Amino acid sequence: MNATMTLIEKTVFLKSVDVFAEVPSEALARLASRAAEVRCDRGEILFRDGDEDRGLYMVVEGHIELRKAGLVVRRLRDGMTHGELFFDEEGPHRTTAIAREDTLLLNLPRTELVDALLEYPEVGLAMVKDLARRLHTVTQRLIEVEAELLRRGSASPVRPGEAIEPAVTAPQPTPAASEVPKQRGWWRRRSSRAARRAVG
Amino acid sequence: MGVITAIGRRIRMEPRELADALGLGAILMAITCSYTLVKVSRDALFLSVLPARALPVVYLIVGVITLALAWAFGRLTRRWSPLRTLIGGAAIAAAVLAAFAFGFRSRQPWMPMAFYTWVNVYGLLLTSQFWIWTNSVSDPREARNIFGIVGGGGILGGLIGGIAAATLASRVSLASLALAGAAVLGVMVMVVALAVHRGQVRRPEEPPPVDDRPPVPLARVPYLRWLALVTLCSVVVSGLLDFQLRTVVQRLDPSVAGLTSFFGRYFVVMNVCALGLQLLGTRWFLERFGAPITAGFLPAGLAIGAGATLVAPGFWPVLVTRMWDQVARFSIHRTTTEVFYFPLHADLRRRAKSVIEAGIERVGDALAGLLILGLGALVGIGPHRLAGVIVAVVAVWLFAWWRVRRGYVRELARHLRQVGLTRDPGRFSLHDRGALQQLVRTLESPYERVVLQALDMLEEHAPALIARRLPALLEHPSPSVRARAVAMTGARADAADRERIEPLLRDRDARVRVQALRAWVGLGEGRPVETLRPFLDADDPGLRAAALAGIVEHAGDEDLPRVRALLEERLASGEAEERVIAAEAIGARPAPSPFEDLLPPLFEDPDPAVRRAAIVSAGRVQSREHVPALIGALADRSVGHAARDALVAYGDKAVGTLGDWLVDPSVAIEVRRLIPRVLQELPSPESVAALFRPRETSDVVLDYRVLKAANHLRNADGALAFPADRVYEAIERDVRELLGAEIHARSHADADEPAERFLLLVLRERRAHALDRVFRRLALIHPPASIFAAWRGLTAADGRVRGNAVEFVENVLDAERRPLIMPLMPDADEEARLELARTRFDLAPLDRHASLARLLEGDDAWLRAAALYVIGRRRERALIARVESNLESTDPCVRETAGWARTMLAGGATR
Repeated sequence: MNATMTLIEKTVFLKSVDVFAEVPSEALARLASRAAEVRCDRGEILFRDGDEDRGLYMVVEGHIELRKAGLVVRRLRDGMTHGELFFDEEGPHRTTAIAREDTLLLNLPRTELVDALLEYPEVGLAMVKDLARRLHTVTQRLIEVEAELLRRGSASPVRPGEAIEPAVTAPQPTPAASEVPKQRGWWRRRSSRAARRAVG
Repeated sequence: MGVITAIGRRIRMEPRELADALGLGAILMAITCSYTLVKVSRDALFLSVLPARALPVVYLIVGVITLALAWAFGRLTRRWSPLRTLIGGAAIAAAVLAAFAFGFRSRQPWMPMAFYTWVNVYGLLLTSQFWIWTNSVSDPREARNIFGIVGGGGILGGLIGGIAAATLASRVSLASLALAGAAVLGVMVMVVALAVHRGQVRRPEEPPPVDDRPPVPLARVPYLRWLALVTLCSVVVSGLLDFQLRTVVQRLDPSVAGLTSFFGRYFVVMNVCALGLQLLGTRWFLERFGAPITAGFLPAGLAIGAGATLVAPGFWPVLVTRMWDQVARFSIHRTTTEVFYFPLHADLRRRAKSVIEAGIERVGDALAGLLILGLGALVGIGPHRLAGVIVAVVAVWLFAWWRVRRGYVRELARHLRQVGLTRDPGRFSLHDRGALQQLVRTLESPYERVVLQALDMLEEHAPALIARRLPALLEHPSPSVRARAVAMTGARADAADRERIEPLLRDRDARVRVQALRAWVGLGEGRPVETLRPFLDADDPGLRAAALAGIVEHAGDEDLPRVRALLEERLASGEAEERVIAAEAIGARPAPSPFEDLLPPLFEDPDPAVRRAAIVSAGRVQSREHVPALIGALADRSVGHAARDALVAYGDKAVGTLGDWLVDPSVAIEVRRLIPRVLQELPSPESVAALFRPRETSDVVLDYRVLKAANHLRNADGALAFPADRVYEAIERDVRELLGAEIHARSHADADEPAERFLLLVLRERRAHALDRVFRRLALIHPPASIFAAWRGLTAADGRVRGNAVEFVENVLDAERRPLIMPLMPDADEEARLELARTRFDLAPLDRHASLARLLEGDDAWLRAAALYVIGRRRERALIARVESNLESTDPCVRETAGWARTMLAGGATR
């Protein structure tokens, strides 16, 4: 757990992650070379709601809990990812991530993820599939919660005739990939800071 | 099944294929056996009653009747499946034969003629129907494997029928022979019906037609016209040879017993030879020469035989020529001709086969009869005169065969494209006339976004079409549209536009006014600096930008120092926005611009927007001095796109420098990797030359991007020529890599550990990528759309599409490349690949340990790293020396993994 992962180990791990499963291994190695290891001790906060977004996190080993407003939104275990679905390039984290066990993660800068997305459409396809699955799960959960509220006699947050999924306005257009500023240097500083903080 | 598996392995066939081939061969054997049995009695009966000279008349009558019956049969069974038609046809044939057998007793004078006709009809119809069905359940590749055996069954049937006829002719009556033929068919019908009932018979893979469009008339398909001509010539020649032989034989011994005995022996010998050729030679011929070439052997042999008869007319040349005709026709020719129908759509194929085999063949018989009659009436019939006619018809046949051969490859490619594999519904050409007209109409839309988008697209694809709509757009309710329209009007600098622009100088919207002013000064009205200067201090940056651009664009020589001062003032500004405005304005003046020297410092500006604006302007100014800076900017994520567009705007002027940078190893690899993407937008021989300047580099990504760019150029301009020797040289390398990867993958096929499974995955990727490159390179030499369709077809789920794809590839390759590439096809025999690897590249199968050792010595750094990972994980201590030799590798990943593996081997790590 304390040893540093070699590039090939990172690559083998990335290949096991759904989002990257269809990307050729050599291209993954290039991606892996830009992925930084992040270690969190049990109870340590990886990032907070509102912190600057540092891209994609992939749990190599361990357990991360994503929390929002005191509720657990999602649990990330081995091979699971967080941060591949983003509203915009510059947006902050919208949850707080806490390690529930000693955890090893790989962190990939957003720009690298966007590059991979543009180069390999399979990455986007895997992301859409994952998003659809999660949306379905969340909707199911919402229905269950609403049924439970009604059973308890509480007022439903969804008014009669209203859809569970509210209408949303079109988001601002995302800048073209070519316009995405290169943030490697910036990211390296942030990630090493995160790593230092993670180490304690 | 065990026997079939054993035999299949021995003759390199899948057990399922072999079982199918044997089943189909047995059915054809029954049909041919029945036909031959009855044919002998037919000939004997006919020749004993009528002289051979009556044959031409009979050919004519038989031709007309067969044509009519075949047409009627086709109409009646149109809605039936090929199998049902075959079974039904065979049942009818058996019943009619039995009726004839009993009818012989009546000794009616028309009986020999009617029997002769019927035997011809049913023999042709059943054989044709059998092949239609067989064709519908297989594909060209499978055909190569199984048609030899299937055709062998047919010949064996002929052989058995001939022997039986020869043996029984003197002992039993002709009626009994006819009855025996009917019995054979009857048994076949029952066996096949039973097999169908038990679900043991293959069904066609092809789906029925999905649209209701009227069928394509056969005569409108040029390929079918040539195919019909080939068949016609073939049948005419066969008819002439048949007559030639019968005339010669009848002169030797005109008795019934003698004729029956001769033809019985003749059929036996012919069938033995045909069987031998079919079983021993057909597959070899097809594999060695391919179907289209093999189809030329029969006419070529006949041309030689007829030539010999012409020189020395006599029994033996006639017999040998006719023997070759029959032997080759029923063996290799039958199989290869069937393959010609594969590229056709199922419906078209079925109709074509019915018409050609049952119709054209009978027309051929009739034509042969007419030729003989005409010849007899004009100059008399003799073997040498017939031989002269045969030579002439064979010449036409050979020409038609050559056209079919070419058409076959085209039809295969068309079929592959038509199956929808290469259709891209999202692909829509804006150069299409209809699409452009539609786009022009959208300029009438009241919606601003729609009009602006249409203007963008038209400006890029057909700027000439905008001109007529500009006056209307100048009055559009949207200021943005009016501003854009007036800018475009001003760019034309046409004095006739003065009246249209003038009112817009007083437009309520400032953006429109400034564009109108800019256009106004462009027409020579007023001094640019004075007219536009008031807008330089406007609050709206868009106005400031338009005003400055107008000044730079139209300023006279006397104003240039003032304009330069204005630009420098803004460029010195601490505000990035002002620098962007100035950088954009520099590009507004047509080349040669007196302000281009202001651009280089802007390429280094800390603000990406300024850099981008400067790069865009450089693309407009097009000074050679800026090219290196633009190439260098390709790797800058924030301006890379702009740099690419700017370089593309230079056109061929930048290609030489791009080529220099592409081959220069001192240039950063990130930059070199982006150069092919620029070159691919410049379709010209110079771009091709630039892309082919670097030989194989050590960078996989760069090599692949060069190849992709070459493909892009090839698609953009099919007339561009690529250096074939370099392409095939690279293909040779790719094939070596593919086979090497496959051999190593075999060594680790039973990987049971994650690291080794990863190595296996990398090896399979290497194999797949190498095959991808082979096809990309083939697309540089051969029609790219068809090669791409074939590439997609090779992985199609439909076996028929796969078969057609392989067949197409084989036929576009020349004989020299075929042995190199055909074994790589996905369905190809693995042993053939191993043989190729061994003989051509000296690559032999390896055990796991040897494979790891060999991988560590290879040039492929990524494979070395993967192998080191396996060695570390598996604790392969015997390989420690090789691991250590990689510790000094130039590749950081190899170096790192080697260090890790050494630690693992030393037992220093527990992870």
